[in-house]
Amino acid sequence: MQKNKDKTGRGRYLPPDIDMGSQPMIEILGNRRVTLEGSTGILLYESENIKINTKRMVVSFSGRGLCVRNISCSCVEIEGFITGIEFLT
Amino acid sequence: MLLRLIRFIRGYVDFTARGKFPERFMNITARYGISIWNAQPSENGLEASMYISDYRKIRLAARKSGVVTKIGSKHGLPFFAFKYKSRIGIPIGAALGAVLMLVLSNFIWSVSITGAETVSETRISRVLAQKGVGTGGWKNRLDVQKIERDTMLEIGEIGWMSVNLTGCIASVEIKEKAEKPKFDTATEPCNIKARCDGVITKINAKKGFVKVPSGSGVAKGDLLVAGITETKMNTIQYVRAEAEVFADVAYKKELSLSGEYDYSSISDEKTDRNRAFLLWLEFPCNLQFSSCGESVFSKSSQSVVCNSVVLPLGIRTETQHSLESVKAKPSKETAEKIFNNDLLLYEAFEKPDSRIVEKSVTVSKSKAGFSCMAEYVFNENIAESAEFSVTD
Repeated sequence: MQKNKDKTGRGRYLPPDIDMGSQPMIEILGNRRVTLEGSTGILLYESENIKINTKRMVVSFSGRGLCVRNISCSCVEIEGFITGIEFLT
Repeated sequence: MLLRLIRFIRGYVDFTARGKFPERFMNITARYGISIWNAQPSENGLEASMYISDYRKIRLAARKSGVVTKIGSKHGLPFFAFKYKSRIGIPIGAALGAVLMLVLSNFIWSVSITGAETVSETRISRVLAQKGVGTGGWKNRLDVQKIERDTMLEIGEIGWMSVNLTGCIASVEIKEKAEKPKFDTATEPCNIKARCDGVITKINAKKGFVKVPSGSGVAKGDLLVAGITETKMNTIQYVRAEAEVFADVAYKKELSLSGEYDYSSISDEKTDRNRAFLLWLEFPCNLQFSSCGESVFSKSSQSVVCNSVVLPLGIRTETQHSLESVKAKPSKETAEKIFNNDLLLYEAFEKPDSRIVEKSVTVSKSKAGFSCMAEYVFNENIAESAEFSVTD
């Protein structure tokens, strides 16, 4: 296991055989907040469903009262009552 | 909180973006580095907020994504400033006020001294003012520790002091030195002799051998308590005699007053000159000129007090009183009053430790004026140490 450190200094244990360069990094805080790194754009934006495109797949978040809290060119932060996450390839 | 403040200062708008592809609009703005927050999906579009500076850049993004943007509400300082653009005096006044506050906050406005019991506060404040800790002093250049050290060296009675600069107020805390008790460390033997003539009333001998009984009359220089005596073994013992010997002592005090004398008196004619002051600046409030020959001045100041802090703002009044020469011919009653006052001063300052046993005052009039003869009997300590050498 290799230990990488992000900007905040938190350690993340990642398997060495996985190429993280093209994989999205998803951080989930309970079922209320999701931070997705490696986004290439928002495909669908509704209060019940948000679909975010990444290099390898499309990640679909379903729930109630979903909204994008912050967005930058590669990172999206979603807030709301999340009931499901789907990975569409 | 900080983010809210930044957003308020930069100014932001709540807007709606309606059209076919609001998602694409978000993607393009994100690619351009434009930050969007509070993005809520709505029917056929989205509602969000962004900085006013960014809103001017999104025209191309809106066209590419086929959405129409519309500002809902405007918030922040740029809009507030624009609203009051025609009233230019308000921002200028606010800016001047802020500058004035910044400048004045670099000066000491008030100095408070606590803990001074025997040392005069006026003396301490004068010494501190020489070192820069005074009203109107530039507080950023003060080396507080050096000032504390120098002041303690200059005023020897201070044992510890601390100068605290809190905002524009300098509070000085002082602890005075405890005085060393005086011990008689001399070891030479001595006698106690009479300092003046008198009748002994009481003897408190701590060391030595009493030679005169209570009630006996003594002359100046008589031995009262001896520091030398012969023991039962026929040897001589030397001690340092210590005693308080109280005796009734007679004193005479003569006073005289001229029958006619001149003195200067303050007349009713006076001139007030007011000056407003702020820190070290003074502005004359009125101009009053007078042609008084001889005059005396009195000064008073009234400062503004806010929350029990004396502010360096107020009015100083200088009053010029003219003097007039008066010829006085005192009557006997007036002369008696003057003599009585003089005798009270004599008792208070020249005989502070003595108790008056008898007092008689005689006032007589002569050609030259009045004379007063006061006869006192004071009960006082007449003990006086007289050292001697053992070889004597």
